[in-house]
Amino acid sequence: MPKMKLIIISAMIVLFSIFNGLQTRRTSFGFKGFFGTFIVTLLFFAFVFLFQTLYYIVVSKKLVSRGDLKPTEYQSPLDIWLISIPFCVLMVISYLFLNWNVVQVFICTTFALIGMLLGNALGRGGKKWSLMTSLPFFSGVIASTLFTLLMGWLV
Amino acid sequence: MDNISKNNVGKIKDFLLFALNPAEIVRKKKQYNWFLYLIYPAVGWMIFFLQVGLDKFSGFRVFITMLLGLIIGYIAVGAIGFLIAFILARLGMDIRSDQVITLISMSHTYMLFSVLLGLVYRIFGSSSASAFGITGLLCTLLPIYAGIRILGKNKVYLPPLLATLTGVLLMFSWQMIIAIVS
Repeated sequence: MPKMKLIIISAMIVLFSIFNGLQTRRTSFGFKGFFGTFIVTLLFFAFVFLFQTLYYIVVSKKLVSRGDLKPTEYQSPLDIWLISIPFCVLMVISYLFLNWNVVQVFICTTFALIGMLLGNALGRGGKKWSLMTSLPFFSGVIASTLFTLLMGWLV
Repeated sequence: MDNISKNNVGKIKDFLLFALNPAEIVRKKKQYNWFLYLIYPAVGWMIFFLQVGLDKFSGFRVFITMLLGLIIGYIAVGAIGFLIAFILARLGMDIRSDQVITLISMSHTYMLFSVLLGLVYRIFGSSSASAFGITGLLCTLLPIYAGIRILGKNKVYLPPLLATLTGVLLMFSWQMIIAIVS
């Protein structure tokens, strides 16, 4: 089961990267066309995925052992990442059928929203503020800002 | 008189609670006036199409685009709600259509915020209606996902698939409005 989810998430990361590369080729005629953007997006997305997921696993284990998170309330990070299925499908449809060149908006929103969901699953927004549970949320916002800056510089 | 005002305060409280956490609609299992709740997303669509209209057209066509956003927003969100409720009922889930329509309607809070921000951005900067609209649309899918997830925790793939279907239908409804006014 986790293997299947990992395959789906990996396929989505590849799709996001392919379409970002295609959009760059369509909207700019620069030398950094498809492959530059594709590789950068793939690496950046993979890094964000690994960082957020591994951080979530480590912190949730810590919280469960401390009794701050009930084992019954634990959510698999891969289940949370599956919410990016609609984002990915909508990105493909908007690019192919509606001719909307907004792939980067989809990618940035995915980073921010997944970060928020991972933070919420750790108990962000509880009575006592904690950097440990809020970090996934901030990491999502920071990742989407960095990605925008990177794309602005690259494309 | 006191009862009427208490009732109104209760309704406003419910509305605010649902606007901030639409998944509560599924948990509470009350009877909802879905046709009233549908005004909420319709207003969001109207603001979004006001920006689209200002980007693409001028004069009376901006008003027509905005009006179509309001009307089709109301109808499309209602129709999508009925469809999702039908699918969920076929899958044996314990949920009524008024709950699903209210859930989808109140999930538009984030979209409303996003398009309002887009409007402010337009006033002070340049226009990027589609970016704010898309962000709002994606944020709308989160509470829908969360609401459906409450119904069946074991069905891991059902919430993202139904959220996808909702998103696709919402997006094509947008495109339909743009095609009508173009």
